[in-house]
Amino acid sequence: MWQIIKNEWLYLRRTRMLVGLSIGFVMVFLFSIILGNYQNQKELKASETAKKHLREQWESIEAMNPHSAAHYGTYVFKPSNLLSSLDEGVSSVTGNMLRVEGHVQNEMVHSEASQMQAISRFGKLKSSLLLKFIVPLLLIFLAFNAVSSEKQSGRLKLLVLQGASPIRIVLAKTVAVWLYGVLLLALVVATYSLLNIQNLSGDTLFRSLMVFVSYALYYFIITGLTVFFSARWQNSTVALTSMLGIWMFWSVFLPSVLLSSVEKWHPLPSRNEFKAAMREDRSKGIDGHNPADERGKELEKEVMAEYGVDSLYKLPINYDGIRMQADEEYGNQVWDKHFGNMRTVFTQQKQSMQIAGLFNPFISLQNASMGFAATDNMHHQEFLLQVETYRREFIKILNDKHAYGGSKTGDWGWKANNEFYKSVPDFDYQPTALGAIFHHYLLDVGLLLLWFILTLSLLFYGTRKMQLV
Amino acid sequence: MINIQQAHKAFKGKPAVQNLTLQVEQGEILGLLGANGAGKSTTINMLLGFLKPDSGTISVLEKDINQSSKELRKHIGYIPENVNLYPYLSGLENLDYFCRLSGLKYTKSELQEFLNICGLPSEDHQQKVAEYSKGMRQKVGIAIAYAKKAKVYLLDEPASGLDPRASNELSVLLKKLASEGATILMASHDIFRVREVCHRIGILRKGELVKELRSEEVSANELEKIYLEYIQN
Amino acid sequence: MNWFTICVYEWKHFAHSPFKIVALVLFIVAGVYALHNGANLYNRQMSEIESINKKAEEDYQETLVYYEKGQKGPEDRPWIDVTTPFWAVWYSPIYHFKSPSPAIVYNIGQAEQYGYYKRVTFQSSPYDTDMAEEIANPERLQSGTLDFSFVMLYLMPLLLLIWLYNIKGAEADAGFLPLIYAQTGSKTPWLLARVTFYSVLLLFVLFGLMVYGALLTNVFKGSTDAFLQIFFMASAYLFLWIFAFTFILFRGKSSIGNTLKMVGTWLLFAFIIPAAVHQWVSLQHPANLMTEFIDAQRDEREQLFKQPDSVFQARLNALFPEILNSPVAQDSTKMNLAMNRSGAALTNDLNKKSFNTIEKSNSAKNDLIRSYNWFNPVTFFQNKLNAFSGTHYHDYQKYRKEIQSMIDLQVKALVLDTWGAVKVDKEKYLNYKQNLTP
Repeated sequence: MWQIIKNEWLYLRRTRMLVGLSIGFVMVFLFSIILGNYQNQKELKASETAKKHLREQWESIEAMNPHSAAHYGTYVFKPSNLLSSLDEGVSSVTGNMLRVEGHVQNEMVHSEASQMQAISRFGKLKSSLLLKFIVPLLLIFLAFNAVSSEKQSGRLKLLVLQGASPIRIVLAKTVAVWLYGVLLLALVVATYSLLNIQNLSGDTLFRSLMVFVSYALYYFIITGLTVFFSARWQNSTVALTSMLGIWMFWSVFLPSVLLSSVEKWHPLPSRNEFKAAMREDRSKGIDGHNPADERGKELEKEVMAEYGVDSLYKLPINYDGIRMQADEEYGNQVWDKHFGNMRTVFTQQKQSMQIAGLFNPFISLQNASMGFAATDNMHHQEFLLQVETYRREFIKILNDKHAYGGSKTGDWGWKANNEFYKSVPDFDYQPTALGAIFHHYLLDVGLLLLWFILTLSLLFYGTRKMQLV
Repeated sequence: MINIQQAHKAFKGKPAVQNLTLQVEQGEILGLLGANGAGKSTTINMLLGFLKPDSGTISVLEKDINQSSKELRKHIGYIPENVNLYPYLSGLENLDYFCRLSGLKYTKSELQEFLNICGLPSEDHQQKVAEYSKGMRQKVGIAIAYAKKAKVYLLDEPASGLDPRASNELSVLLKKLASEGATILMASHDIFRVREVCHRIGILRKGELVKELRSEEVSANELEKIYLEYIQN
Repeated sequence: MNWFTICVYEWKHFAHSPFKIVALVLFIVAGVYALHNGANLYNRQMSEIESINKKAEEDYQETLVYYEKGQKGPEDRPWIDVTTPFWAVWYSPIYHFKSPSPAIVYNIGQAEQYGYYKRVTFQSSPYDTDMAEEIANPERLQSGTLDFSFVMLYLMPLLLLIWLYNIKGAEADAGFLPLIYAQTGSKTPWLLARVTFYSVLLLFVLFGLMVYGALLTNVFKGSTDAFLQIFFMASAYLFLWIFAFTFILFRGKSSIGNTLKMVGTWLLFAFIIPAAVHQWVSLQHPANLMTEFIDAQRDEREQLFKQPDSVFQARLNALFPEILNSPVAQDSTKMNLAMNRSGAALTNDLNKKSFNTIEKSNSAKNDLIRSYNWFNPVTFFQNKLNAFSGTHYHDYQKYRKEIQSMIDLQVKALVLDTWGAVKVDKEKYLNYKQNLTP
């Protein structure tokens, strides 16, 4: 088998067109890696500068009423992670800033895509674009006549007669072409690692390894299927056109159809319905801004009883802060319910997409690639949850200051000092460790493995049925 | 050494070989003559184990080819009509590659010797096969079969594309192999070459062996006459 | 052999090639599916707009009741007084919609990246968070909806490729190409006639699909121009690919070689060039983090309200010189409240200044994208289709500008009527509805 693999590599090395193509490919890869990395650094710097700018503004608040500060609020920018330069995932469509303020859980807005006219339907020239779409095509081109050319030329008979069994020939041809794809993949991962060697963490390495494994499995599936067609059909052209058809169906046509379909199977509410439902639920709680609100009376009684006073104005604390926090906590339940429902729908959609990997391994690859690069919707939702947790802590700190900071009920003119504002912690994003959510991607990796086994079986079966004459 | 008994093979109902019975002994060269579609290549493919006969038995070295094809192929050398080699490898590299597939490792000088014996000049050994003529490719094909040191040789129009000198060298080589004990079956259109090289000659028509004769019994002209007679009938 | 005969024989070639027929069937299925996706979006947006309009009308009627009953507002909100311009304008449920064009059936374009309805108040801005796009799965947004323009821009060249790849190559592979040349005298008319057959067939298919799409959203009722423009664009785009592929066929020597070159060309124009331009534009002009807008919304606003009354008043006077001689300007007891209520005018002014920077940065990106159109035809055609179906960036920019004009109108009404001490009654409220709604 090794002899055949070696011979295939000699073919790659000695065919001028392929050498040229390989050099071109490596150049485009390096170009995309360097640009992607540069953009990543630029984005990180911009988001750090913006974050610093806003923090400075916050820390320069000399004196302000804590509730006014809750309305003044802050903004969170989604930092791009190291692997987003490999696979950008949903980053360009999800917006990049989120307002953190009292009374409301906001959504991310101002996506990059909304800031300019349309350019590319398949995203930027990231390595993932080349690895997902172009490298498989290259592998198809390298493998489509791997066996059929041997058959057409009559060499296959000679090879078999010389002792190379058909299965050895087919497997060796598959492995030889597959290794070419794996080498390109290794080049990408290694270059990224070298460029970012100082920032590499265990988690990043684990993620990179899983990206590598997912693509390597997919490449085997593509190469194996192409060699299978090449072995089954007498004509190279039929093998090539069949595989091109499969590539188009899997990579271009089916993902769009499936993504549109899962949104129909598990519909999301319209923004208007979503907001109206939240407004409706929110209106049933305490109105933090309205002292005359009947639903707040119960709380008033509780607090007065606790402090043993008969008037809010006799309280040693500021009741307004307590009422606003109660309002906030009720609001949190409403957000949890509605945003939670939305996340449930997203999860259902994701699961349906993952199951679709049964029919299309490209879907599993896409899920795995975005997931392991931490740029899929699941990671995005994790980020939003972290921001919301921060928002709740942030507002509670402000409301507590309003309540227990030394002011009395109704004293809206009271202001907390600069020291306090400096002490309010800033948002510190903790990237989700892959180990904690790896189980979500087991199905994708599992289906890729299943396709891998299926391809191997097809190769064995195809060889049995292969006609030598 | 080669024994075909009542072999029958049809493609989509159309018979390619019918009730074929023939034997080739050790050290003997049998030539199969026949027009296009007479069943020569089908017979060779059945002997190689690439095609299974619909009925009848085919044995090589006293073993049924379909039951021991893997083992028997180690002892069979094959030269097709068109030897298509890897164009990006040199003649020497092609020979080395095919030998290694058979588990044979020869030194460079041994490989060169094989090519020389088969008539490929030394200066062409390192050239890419893409630059070879058909005859040069054919010579490498012969060298591949020769280097295998097989006990049985199956040749399908081996002299196709060879110039008269090379063709003559091939005849000498085949005779040498036979004298060393090899069993050879050669399918060809070339009546004169077959008459010159083979010990026995069989004429195939529509898959049937219609005539069998010893080459010393007939002159080339007589053989041509007999052949045309059987073909036209 | 004349062209007609070649075409007749081409039909026979086509009819005997299951692969080519399956490709056509798949293309039609994808086209119909894509048209329905576009029609669904159109219907969804239209029904959403209708339901918002209905709710707005209910809110309107609710406020009218306050005037009829002589109430100042909701009972549990005693600080509200709808007889003042401030609350009357606030209680005018004014919406602005970007109604979808029926031609959206052909091209969703950037429609899913922006909001298409907005409640406009004097405190609004065209960059508010409620201008965010409709809730959708970001993974789908990233991958893009399979709309008809996708079928046209990406799948049509592939269909053409499948139809044309073995023209001349099959004859060359089988070794009878010289015979064809000998029989026809020249390869050019023979090859062109064969390519023309598929081009005409594809044009008919496109036209048929577009007519089917037109029936889904009534395109012929008012958007016939868009239909013709899009069909013209589709034809031009088709001819671009025919030109490229015919060139390859003329020069090519085998089916496999031609297929590789055609797929390579498609990859280059559909994937590599747009993606490289996208990457380059992003590097030159990274995503705007909207810090100018944030500063205007927060810090500058804070600074504004910290200004002494005199400065505040001066800035207001500069924006609305009419208020200098207004009744409230003559009454110092009422000036404080009027100034408080006119704050929106100054924040609106701050916002507008920050938008200029944002729009300028976006405009620079768009200019850069356009400057590469000469070698990036797929993006050029995509944006043309977006423009014809009213889903281009510029359509949403225009929508933002319209919203800004409406905000300006509300601000003006608020300031002038507040300083003019206008008491709002039912008639005036109805006037607001009429004058502040586009």
